[in-house]
Amino acid sequence: MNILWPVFLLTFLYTLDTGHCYITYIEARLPLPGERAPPGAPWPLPRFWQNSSTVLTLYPSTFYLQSNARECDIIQNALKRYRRYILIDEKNGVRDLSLSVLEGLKVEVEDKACGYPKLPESYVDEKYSIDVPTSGPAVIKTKTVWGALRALETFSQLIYQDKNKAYQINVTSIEDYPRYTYRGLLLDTARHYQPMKTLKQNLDAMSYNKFNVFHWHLVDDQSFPFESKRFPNLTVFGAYTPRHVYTQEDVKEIIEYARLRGIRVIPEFDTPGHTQGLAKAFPHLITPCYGDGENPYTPNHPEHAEAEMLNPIQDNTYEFVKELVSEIKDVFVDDYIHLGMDEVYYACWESNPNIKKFMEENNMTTINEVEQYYVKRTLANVKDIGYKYMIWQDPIDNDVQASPDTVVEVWKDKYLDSKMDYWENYIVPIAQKGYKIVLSSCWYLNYISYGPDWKKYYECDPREFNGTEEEKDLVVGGEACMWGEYVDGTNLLSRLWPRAAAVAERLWSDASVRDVDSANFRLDQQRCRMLRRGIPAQPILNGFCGDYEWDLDADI
Amino acid sequence: MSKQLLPALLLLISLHSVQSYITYIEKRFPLEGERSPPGSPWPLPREWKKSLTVLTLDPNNFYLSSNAEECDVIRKATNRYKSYILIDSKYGKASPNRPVMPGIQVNVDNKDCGYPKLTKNTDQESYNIEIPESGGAKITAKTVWSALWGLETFSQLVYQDSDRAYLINATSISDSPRYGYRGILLDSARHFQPMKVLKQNLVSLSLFMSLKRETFLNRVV
Repeated sequence: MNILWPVFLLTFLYTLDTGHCYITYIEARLPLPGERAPPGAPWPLPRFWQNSSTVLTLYPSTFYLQSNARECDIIQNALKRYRRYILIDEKNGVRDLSLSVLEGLKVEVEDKACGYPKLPESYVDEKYSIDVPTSGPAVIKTKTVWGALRALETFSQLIYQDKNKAYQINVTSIEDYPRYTYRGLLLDTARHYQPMKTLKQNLDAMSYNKFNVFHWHLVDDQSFPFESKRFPNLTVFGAYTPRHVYTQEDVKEIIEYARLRGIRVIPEFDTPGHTQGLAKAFPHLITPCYGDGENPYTPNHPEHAEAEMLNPIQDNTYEFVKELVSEIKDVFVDDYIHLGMDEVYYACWESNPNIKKFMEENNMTTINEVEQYYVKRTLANVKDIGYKYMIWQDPIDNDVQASPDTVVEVWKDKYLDSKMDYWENYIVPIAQKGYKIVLSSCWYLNYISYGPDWKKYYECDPREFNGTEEEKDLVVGGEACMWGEYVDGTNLLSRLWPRAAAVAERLWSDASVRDVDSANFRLDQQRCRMLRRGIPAQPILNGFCGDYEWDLDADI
Repeated sequence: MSKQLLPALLLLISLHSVQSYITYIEKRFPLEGERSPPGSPWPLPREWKKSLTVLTLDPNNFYLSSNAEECDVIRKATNRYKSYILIDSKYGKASPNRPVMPGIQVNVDNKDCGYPKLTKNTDQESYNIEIPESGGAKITAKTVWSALWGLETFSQLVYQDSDRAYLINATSISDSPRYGYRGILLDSARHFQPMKVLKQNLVSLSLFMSLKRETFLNRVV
């Protein structure tokens, strides 16, 4: 007994002192299940990861990153950026004199096409392999520059430091490709203005987790921060203040920042609902409601306000939408626009006698047909401009026929609203109609709760619904959503990360990667990694990251 | 059309006055309750008589003095609160068309300095604020601790208009706490909380009387 205790203590202290992050139990009588991951464990988990016990070191002053695709600015920028992440400890990182040195990294890209990321045609577009051999440089092989970005991220995660701050990396062999080609994240900049710094840091955090779509919910009821040059009043009257604006320069900056990280930017311009923001400039485009049964612009709370929803019976409504969408197409680069079309509440339209008249004149018997009319006409206009589009599930639920290349985003679920059905039931008819689908229902990260709620995001699987294999194949990916009612520059990043990382792994890694208990430790590594790279990712359990803890040495 | 324009214009005007603004989740569920005027204190004082007379502060000519300056708590507080009162160091200015409120004098009854203690008598934390229609303002505080609360409330009464001019209404406040123990617990064992966080937390706690902090030492043997 007397001999055992010091031995135990020394072993314990040794493991603690390795400079690694460490999470621990809530109560000692409930020890954490699962297996602690070795240091340098990647997130999301690659498809094939062969780790060995041979450890190499890095020599900061001579470590090189090379590529055959340096002419592409994405690769050039990435090599610089990842050098910083690999040799993260600028102050104290050293080489381990007792280990062989890994001299450098070569990134070999087959198809050097540069430019903007597009919806990948298949998982192959982001496929990569990493070879960290016992001698010679490490080699990344990829088909495209996008695969190179994913590979560089994984490689940078394999490096760790021992208690003497010496860089270490294990001889490793990795082959990897994503399960889904659409791995998105939604931010809402209308309910609160999100500062440019937050948007950029978020794009960084997305790149650390291999997300590849930024769904930018630009405008909504509360504000219109987008700078429209064709309709300047939209911004003058719609933005919270002149400072709470995204100029077209700002937008281009974000698109470029995203491009260098292999992230597509899809803007959302939501109609016919969620349009109070643009109504501040163009009130005549919104339907007047007859709350008292007789007069226009009279509310009937909580059924409807005094005016709501774009007016579907006016031609200028459609002309305006077409014009604004065409301006968005000039500023944004992606092939797709998200047109919203969610939550079209009928109470206001039903109260309006002009709409009743319109219905009679057009042989419409239900108000749902008015929604269909708006949706069909708008979708046709948008297609005319040459845009492909994504929409929320609502019009498809209401039997509207959209273009076959539409991507439908499923967002409804019983846990969001007890009056709704489960997402597994909504998705079935949409898949049967043959649309490509993106799932976000189980990933509304704006709903917070105490403790490790990341586990429930990790466990949601987009294929778990009653459908044929072909129907399940229609799900091209998913999206984590951070709606903006309660977040802004003060808390968005910590609320979103590392919870969104759980979604990242679900969308990238194989379906069989489901063990929440072991993922716990690897997610903590990822959290500490993000922290070290400047993202204020919040903790997932008691413990510590290291001497780079957030604000550890700061003072006011 | 005009029915829509008027609320829009009013909204614009209020928006441009550099005031905070929260809004509905859905327009058909308008926010209930009454918007408070700018410069409303939190927590709400026991007695708050506000007049419509608006005065201005001149950042180049504003005094913040006390009869208890020997006590370092008061000395440091007057420095600190001057920077909170004249918060807009870049653009804040006096309003040309309003009478200037030249400054504030903090008079403390019991000048005992030292460490704050739990008092049984909440009267020990009482204070009054008098901002008259002309002349300097006065805080009358029972103890140095209640002087801090008085300064905090006073600093909250100051606001800025759309030209960034400092404004304050002629006001009369009489305040004392309901409870003598108003605490916040921070846990620095489950996660180490950096010094900066602890200090910043104390700054935002300046409305509370005491901070109770439990530290657990992890014992290995």
